This record gives sequence, structure tokens and C-alpha cells, in this order.
Amino acid sequence: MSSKSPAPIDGVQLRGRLETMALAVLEEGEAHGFEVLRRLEARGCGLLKLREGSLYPALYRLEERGLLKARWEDNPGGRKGPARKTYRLTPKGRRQLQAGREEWATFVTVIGGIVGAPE
Amino acid sequence: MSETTGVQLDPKIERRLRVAVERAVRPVFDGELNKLKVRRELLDHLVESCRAGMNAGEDPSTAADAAIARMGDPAALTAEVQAGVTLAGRIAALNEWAVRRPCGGSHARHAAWMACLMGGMMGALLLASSTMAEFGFGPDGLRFRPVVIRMMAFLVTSFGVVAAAGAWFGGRVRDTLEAAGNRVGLRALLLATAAGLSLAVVGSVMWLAVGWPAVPWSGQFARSWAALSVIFAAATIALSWLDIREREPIEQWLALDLSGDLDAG
Repeated sequence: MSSKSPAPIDGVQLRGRLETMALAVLEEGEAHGFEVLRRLEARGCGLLKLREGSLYPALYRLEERGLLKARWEDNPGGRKGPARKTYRLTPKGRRQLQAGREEWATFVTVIGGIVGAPE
Repeated sequence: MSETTGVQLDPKIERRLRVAVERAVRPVFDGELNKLKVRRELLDHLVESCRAGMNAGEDPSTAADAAIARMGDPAALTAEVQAGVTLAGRIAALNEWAVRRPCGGSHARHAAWMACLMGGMMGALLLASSTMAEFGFGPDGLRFRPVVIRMMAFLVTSFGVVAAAGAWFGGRVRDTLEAAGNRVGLRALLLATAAGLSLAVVGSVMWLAVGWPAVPWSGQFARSWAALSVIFAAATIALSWLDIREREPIEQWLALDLSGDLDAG
């Protein structure tokens, strides 16, 4: 196996996957956008390099499609600052996440079979 | 859910974050209410990101710059947000552009302009019905005597002008109450407007039904006019209620006058 550390994964490589990833981290529980990003970075082992602003249009698309439900909180827990919007998975979102996982597993199997494992 | 500590941001730092948000959101063609929600959420993100940097030992200015840089290119974010704007959002944006912007920030001018538009639209609708009736088009229920229709169009247009004058005056009162932060007064003004409008509508209906005995279709006219007037009154009341409730935070944000910082680049 190569001794070089893996290259970061940026938004271009993630094209089309960010929504499924957001659904996956929200499976842990309700979260606001910044927390979703932290969960993605934690699970990505520090190799994800997202433009943070890109997360929000993805969340809006998911909400528009009924895969997420959002609510606004004013000053939760006495926190000072703007109102906070939190998201949670809907049952439709869970089904879409499962479909996304199956699609990804197929993708990995097919492309991995072509490209082969690293030496 | 994790929480960064409640470190209070310096107002200058928060303003810098707001300018960064505004660079991305202001060019989006969407209703102002939707844009306000996006603004709030992006600002919350930048505040948390900045606080996380400060908790890690960065000074506030460096933490703010890093948070803004991590957000990405504002133009790219504008394009991504714009791609998600719905048809309803674009229609709301068109309304903002065509109706609200020309009136500036004055509720008085906006209310008067809306009353003129609605009066004019109803007058045009009735004139069109009259013309169609002259040529024999439309269902039997629309075959009103054209001269009566034209008189109705004149009345509706006059109503629009009177409503515009009343709306302008009511708008001036509302501007004064808002400047004084008098929310009780604002609610009372809304209820008084709704009550006055309803009385005007009922009075018009009764005058039409009783005051024109020579018109053979006055009963039918009264029902049609009553139906249109009830719809008009209900729509005006609902829109005014929504307007007071939802525009206040929008105008608070827009009143921040970030234009100098935005132009500085």
C-alpha cells in the first residue's frame, strides 16, 4: 500500500453526494447546519474540504423535497445570537437515505471492480 | 448537539459577518422573506464558526476572516442559492421589484399604490366584462347591461382612489406608530382598518341592492359585487396582517445600511 497520506476530498469530487451525506449524518439526530458540517468533518476523518456555504442549498433542496423537516429556535439554551434553524430526517428522508446507500454500494462495487484495489 | 461557548462577538466583527452574508444573499432573485431566512441561517453559521475559532485561540478578527473564507466564494454561493429558488419565490421577488421597491420604505406610499392597483384592476375587469357582454360573449350571468357595468367600473375605480387616500393616511399613521415601537397601536390600526373596510363594503352592497330600483338586475349585481368585495376585503385584511407580522424583521435587517461596506469590496 502507498505510504503517501490520502489527498483531501473536495466539493467537485463530492458532486451529487452531499445530499446523501447530509441525510446520513442527520440520522444521528436533529442538528443545525454548523453541527451537520462538524459531523461530516468528524466522519470524514478531516479529509473533507467543503465550501461550507454549499451545505445550505443542499439542505434547502432536501427540505423542499420533504426529506428533511426544519424548525426555528430563538435563543436555544440562552445562547445569544441569530435564531437557529435545525433539521431532522423525515420517514421519506430515511427511505431516500437507504436508497442512497444502496446506490453508493453499487457504485463502489462496479467502479472498484474496474479500477481494482491499490497495490 | 454540540454547542460552542456563548462568547459575545464584538459588534464590528458581527457587522463584518453580516456583510459577508449580504454579499452572497442580496443578489439572489427571491422574495425578501425567503432571503431573510437564508440570511439568518448563514449568519448563525458564521457566528458559530467564528466562535469555534476564538475558542481554539484565534483572535476575533482572524477567526472572522477564516470563517468567511471557509464559507466559499460569495458569487458561487449566490448561484447555488438562486438555483433552488422556487416559482413562488420568483413571483414574490417580482412583486418586490414591481410594487414595493418603487415605493421606497414608506408604508404609506406602498399602501396607496396597492389600493390604486387593486381598484384599477377591478375596474379593468368590469370594463372587460362589459365589452364582452356587448358582443354577446360569456355565460348568461355575465350579460349585465353594459351602461351599468361601466358605472360600476367608475365606482370601483373611484373606490380605488378613495381607498388609496385612506391607505396613504393609514400608512402615515402606521409609519409613526412603527417609529415609536408601538405594537399595540399597530394591532389596533389593523383592526380599525379591517372594520372600516368591512363597513364600507357592506354599505356599498346595501346601496347597490336598495338604491337602484330602476336597474332590473340590481339583485344579481349586488350578489356579484358582494362576492368580489368580500374577496377583496378578506385579501386586504390577510395581506395587511401578514405584512405587519413578517416585514418587521426584514426591514430591521435591511435598515442596517451595509451598502457602504458592500461597495468597498
